[in-house]
Parts: sequence; C-alpha cells; structure tokens
Amino acid sequence: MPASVVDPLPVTAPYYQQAGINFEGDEWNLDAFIEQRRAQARKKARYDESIPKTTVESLTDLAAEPYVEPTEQHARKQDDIARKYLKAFRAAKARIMELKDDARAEGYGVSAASENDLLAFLNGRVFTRRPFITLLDNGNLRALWKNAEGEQIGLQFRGGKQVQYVLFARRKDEGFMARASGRDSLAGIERQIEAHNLGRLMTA
Amino acid sequence: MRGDQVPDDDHILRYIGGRHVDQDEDGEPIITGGGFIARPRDDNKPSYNWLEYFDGTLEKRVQQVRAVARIEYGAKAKLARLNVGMVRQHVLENTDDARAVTVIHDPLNPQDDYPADPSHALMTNVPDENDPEGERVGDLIAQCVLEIFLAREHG
Repeated sequence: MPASVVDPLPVTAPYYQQAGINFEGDEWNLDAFIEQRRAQARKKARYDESIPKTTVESLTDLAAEPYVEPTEQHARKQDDIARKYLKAFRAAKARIMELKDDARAEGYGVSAASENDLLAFLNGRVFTRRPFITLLDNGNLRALWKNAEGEQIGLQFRGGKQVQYVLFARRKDEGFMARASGRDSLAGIERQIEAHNLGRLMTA
Repeated sequence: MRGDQVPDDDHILRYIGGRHVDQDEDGEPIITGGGFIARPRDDNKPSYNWLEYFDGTLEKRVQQVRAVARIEYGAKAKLARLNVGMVRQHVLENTDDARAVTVIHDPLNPQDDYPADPSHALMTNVPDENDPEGERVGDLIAQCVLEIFLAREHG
C-alpha cells in the first residue's frame, strides 16, 4: 500500500542556483524551474530514508533504484514555495530599482557594494516575503523583515560582505523580547538569524 | 524656552524622507528606523517639531509644521507622530546601555528666506546609522509611531 509523504522536504537554499536559473536577467522560465524542483524532490525522496516511499519493499528493489514519486501533495507544496520565492525575489529587485531611480532623480547614490551584498544575501536564502527595503543616508541599503509582535530582522548591507544587524526575537517561554545588534559577515548573519529562530519572519 | 524638555505627555512630529518609507502588501506606508536616527550633520540630535506648541486641531498643528519647513518635502515623504514619553521609555528599556534620549525645545529664528520655526525640537543622545546601537535606537523609535501623515498636504 503506498505510503504518503506527510512532511515536506527540508527547504534548502537556494532554489534558483540548483535549478540553474539566472536572476540577473529579467526573464526566467518558471515551468522549467518547477520541473527542476520536481526532479530534485524525486531524487531526494529516492535516497532519503526519512521520506516514505511508494514502491521500495526490499533490498533488491533498492538496488534497482525503482522510480519513486513524491506524493502530489508534496510536489504541490514545493511548487508553491518556488513560486512564492520567485515572486518575492522579483519584488525585492523591483524595490531596489525603485530606490535607485529615486536616488538618481534626487542626486544621491546607492552603494554598489551594498546592493551586491544585499542581492547575494537574497540569492542565498529562501524567503517568500520580500523584505522592506530602504536607503540609508550613507548610501547603504537596509532590509527589514518584521511581524506584528515586534520581532524583526534588520540588516544594513555595508559592502565588503559586512552586515550591520538589529534582531528582535520574542522568547515565548520566558515572555520577553531578546534584542541583539552588531556586525557580522554575510555568512555569519545567517547563523545569527537561525540562532535567534527568526528565519520564520522571512517565510511567514 | 530654549533647552526645556518637552513634556512626556506631548507629541512630536518627524519628517521622514521617501527613501526611508516602504509599503506593505496593502499599500500602507512602512517607516523604518533609518528615518529616526541621526545623520552626521545632526550631531546626534535629529530634528523634530513639538506639536502641542501650536493651538488647534491635530491637522491644523501638522499644517503649521509644514508651513515653516526649511526643506522641500519630497513626494514620497511622510510625517510621523510620536509620543515623547513612550519613545523615551521604550528606548530606555530596550537598549543595553539604558539609553536616555530626551526631547528638548529648540526654536529657530527667522533665517534667510525662512520664517521662524518656534516648535522646532531636538531629540538628544541618538546615535547614527554607522553605529549598530544607532540602528537599534532607530528601530525602537519606529515601533512607537502613532500616526503617519503625508509630508506634502496634497500628496
């Protein structure tokens, strides 16, 4: 009897890189992207023992690498995440362009190093909510994800792969808001966000 | 009188340039902390206007602030209304150094072609955007925004 996949595959970043999609251009092939994700899901389901299979029953079957299809529910969830990610990424890029246009019109500049670091961060991270993006007086871009409870991820991209962060995270058990600010590398800020359990703000 | 502390019960208005204003999915303006922190020329004391200095309805008070502005308000800019005591307490309670920001009256005399700005005020002890603590203070102040007005009365 076929088992069903209840839990989704872990969301791993970045989809677009795995799918070979170039976000630098304005066009991308969404259908191809979705198909890539489905293929990845099939491949992962075949080798990941934590994911129930539909056909594997014996070592003989395993050796033969039987075709394994994730459930339709799982595939749909992956498709939905991919579409939301693409939509959020496109919206973030549009917002950056808007800020650059406004800055140009008003005679001030946007730091290219800051923009590159912000895009690198967005490229390497799965998010389905685009951040609020603003331009600071020093020319750097700042991204902010926040929720109604006062939690936030605030990241000023200072160029040179350096990020200035302000994180507010509610500790539900203790009932208070933890607040942290400082500077870290692009790679390090990922760890800071996970350590504060704030990645959910990007996908809520 | 110049240098007097603006009472905690009173309210202040901050001009927020368009670059610090984004929008949510519903098109509502979102003001981020960068709009409240000091720029280098502010000497850690960004400018505000003291609303209760004027008489009349809230809208009339806001209009009087617009009338004496010394910068050209941008099309996407906003005016954010804050309560003095709420800001002071929120920053004090949520900064590692228990930062005490204060709002002091700083009326401006007529200058060049500009009229006097008698409601002008300064928020003191505010770091700038190059200081992580400054961004934190800005974000904390942004959480205290009570109301947002268009900077230009007619958009």
